[in-house]
Amino acid sequence: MRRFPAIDEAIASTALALMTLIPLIEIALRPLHGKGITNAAMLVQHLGLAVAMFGAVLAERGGHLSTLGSGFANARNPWLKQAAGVFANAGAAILSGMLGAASWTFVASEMEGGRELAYGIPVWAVQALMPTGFVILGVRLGSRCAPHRVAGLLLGLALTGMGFTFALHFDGSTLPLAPFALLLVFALLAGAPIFAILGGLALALFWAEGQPLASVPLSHYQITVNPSLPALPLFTLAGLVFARSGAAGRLGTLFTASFGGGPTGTVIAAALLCSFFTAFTGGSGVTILALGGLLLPLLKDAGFPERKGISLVTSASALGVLLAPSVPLIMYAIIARVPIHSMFLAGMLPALVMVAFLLVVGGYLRPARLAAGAPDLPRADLRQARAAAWAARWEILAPVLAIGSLISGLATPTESAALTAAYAILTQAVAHRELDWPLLRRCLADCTQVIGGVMVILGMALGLTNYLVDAGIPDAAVEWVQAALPNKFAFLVALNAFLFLAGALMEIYAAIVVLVPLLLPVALSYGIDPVHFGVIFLAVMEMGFLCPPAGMNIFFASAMFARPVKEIAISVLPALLAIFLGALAISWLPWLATGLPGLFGE
Amino acid sequence: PQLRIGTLAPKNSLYHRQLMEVGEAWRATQGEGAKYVIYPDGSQGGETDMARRMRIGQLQGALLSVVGLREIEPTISALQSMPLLFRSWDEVDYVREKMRPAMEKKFLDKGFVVLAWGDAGWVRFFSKETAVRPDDFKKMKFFTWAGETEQQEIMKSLGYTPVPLETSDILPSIQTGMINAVPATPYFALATQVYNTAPHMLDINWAPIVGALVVTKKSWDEMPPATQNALREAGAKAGLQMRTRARQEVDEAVTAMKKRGLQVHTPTPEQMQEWQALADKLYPRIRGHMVPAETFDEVFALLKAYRAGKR
Ligand code: NA
Ligand code: NA
Repeated sequence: MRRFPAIDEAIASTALALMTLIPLIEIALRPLHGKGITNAAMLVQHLGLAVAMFGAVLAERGGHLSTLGSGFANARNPWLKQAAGVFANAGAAILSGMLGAASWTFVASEMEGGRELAYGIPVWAVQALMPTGFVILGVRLGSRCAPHRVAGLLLGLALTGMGFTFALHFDGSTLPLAPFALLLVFALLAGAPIFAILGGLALALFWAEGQPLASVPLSHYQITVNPSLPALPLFTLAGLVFARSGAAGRLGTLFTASFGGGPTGTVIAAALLCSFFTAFTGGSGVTILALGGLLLPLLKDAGFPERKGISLVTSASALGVLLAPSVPLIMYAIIARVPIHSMFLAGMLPALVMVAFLLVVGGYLRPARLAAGAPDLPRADLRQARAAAWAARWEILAPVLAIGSLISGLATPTESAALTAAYAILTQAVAHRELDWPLLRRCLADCTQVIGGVMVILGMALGLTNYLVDAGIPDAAVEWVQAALPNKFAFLVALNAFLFLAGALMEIYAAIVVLVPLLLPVALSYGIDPVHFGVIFLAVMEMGFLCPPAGMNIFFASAMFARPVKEIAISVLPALLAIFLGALAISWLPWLATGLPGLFGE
Repeated sequence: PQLRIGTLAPKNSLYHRQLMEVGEAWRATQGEGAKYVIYPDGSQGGETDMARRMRIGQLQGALLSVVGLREIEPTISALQSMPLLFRSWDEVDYVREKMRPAMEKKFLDKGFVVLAWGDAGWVRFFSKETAVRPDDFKKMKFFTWAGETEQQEIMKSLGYTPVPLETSDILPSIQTGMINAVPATPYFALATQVYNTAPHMLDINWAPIVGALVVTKKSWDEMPPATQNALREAGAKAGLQMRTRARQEVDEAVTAMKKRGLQVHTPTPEQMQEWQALADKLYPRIRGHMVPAETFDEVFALLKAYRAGKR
């Protein structure tokens, strides 16, 4: 890491730090009836746009933009592999140029009639970060096609410029879809970033209808500045701070002391700890990286074969999705327009049900009998557990703060997330003295990378969703499905199977943004509660983390434990079955999801 | 040719049905392949989003309240942002009718043609506990629209606590106690079930919710004169329906909520005087800030003339 941050890191990290500070200042000033910060809520939301665009640029620099992760990019033939790389990067550069042009058109339309954000800053000035970001992304992706720096830069500029000019020139005309679609499929298989493919597809669809291309960046802007969205980077920051400090070790000690070091205790502790961490960090990959090194030795000591231990850590890390304040949970609430805290409450019981299914049906509790004669393993010990709980008191209180401040009505979702992030930073820096400036800087930068990478995918997927709405497809889907499936139960079974396939093929965030608007109206037409539907949706999506080709956890585990992808994919098969059955159970028993929100609602 | 209209109004609501009738009139003058699409329920985004989608040309029109209309022309706030100014719909109608030619000209200059003027009832206060005097609300947290910065400043300066939120946050926030008072029309309170959690309604006509159906000038200029005439006529008819029927539905909404436990509090004359005193304190802060001074004075002059003429 350099001593001074590069400009992209500086912008993204500063924006994230301000997103944490401004809501806290507002909370502090609220009782004083003072002036506070002008238009604070909108300011924070627009900072999210800076985090998204420059976080994505930063992610590109570190090679962290999500790709399909399979296909020609992994070809054995070196020539094919190189050709695929050039095709993917060149294609992505051209597509980014097109997205840059479309966003520029949008910004230009806002200059005519837009408003002021605060302190004399016009809204369009912040929106201009979109064309800027896409053009930088394009140039950087394009420059990867050439080995030399200067040649690369020139090539990047040329490719991005081509895309920009093409889009500007043909905006508003009607172009055929098929050639676009074909090239996009090739680029996807060659390893182009997913955001470029989704954005390109959205542009191609609007082109095919002769509709304005600016519709796509407008959707990207709309979701990025959504009032609930600042909760995403802020909760993720809190999670990263916990993951990078000694919090994992303290919680590990607590769970071992509470459940004992025997096989059953260790398994339960591992499953709960993984879920807890995934809930906070959002990406279950982060959990595998943060906890894998800690849990695998514990599991081995308890008499677990290594392969089964890896399988447990990999699959349990997928389960936190239903546990507050997980990013997918917030994302669903935003897209489906249900209250965030209803989703938080709704996910709790199903999350426990899923853990139970994983442990029982997945067969992880069985080796308990085999290891019965194992020598002197630490037993559950109340006194030790109390001491461990005291040592981990700040970490244990974090979810209480996050969820409590929300359901007590003391804070908005953004404020609650800012409180939690500040709490994580302060407790780890002051109480534990484990967080210094360089580490905090790394947490901020990593958080913007994660969120930037997710947000560009999300924004482009929302552009795609807007096309679906525009073309009236959700209405058509309702009619079609209602004609095909006679009742609610047939629909639920079909839904689970369909989501399972979708989860295996799609990124969870893209799936939420594209499929929820499509499927939710159908679910509502069968009388399914939107909160219940969200829980089913996310429960089945958990399987997607474990299922090739888009199962992130498999790839993370393969990297973390230095095992072949195939071996890990096979080892999690029992977990897949367990999660599927768990999801069916949650579908069948709506009160698991709707019970708690109902209790706190009225 | 295509005409794509967005609105927050729910599918099959009175407003949606009126938009469909406008569409029928438009289609009748068009040939084969003319495409008229309504996007109800905010499926194209909130009101500011719809204003944006019209600007880039994705939508050709939208049925908006003042929240969205002021994104196009800020002076429109004069009709909805001045509390306790209008005492009856007759006064609203009179002032709007007088201001209409100039207002429609302003919209045209910004690139929009107004086809119909509608309204959606009076804003009243729904609260968790009984509250009838201005001071009763000082201990409460108020919903305000996240974009309305000036209004939040004014409320803060008078000792009230505004909590800026989006419309979709209202119901969860009032349930958790994040807010305890919501200024809303009875129609909205009924549709969103807000009255279940905030069962006290203060019966004052705080401000009317005013709206309009607009189409972009670009799409208007592309229409042949016969189509323009048909659309104007259909718009005028729909506007009349939206105004008369909406007022009726508001009364029905109050009756329906009363049956299910809503308590309506009518202020006494003394309490009403306190409210009027509060409004008088607000006007100078609104003039020149939330509403351009010139438009502000115009509305006051028109009202004075109307009240003098009636006497
Ligand atoms: Na999370
Ligand atoms: Na997936």
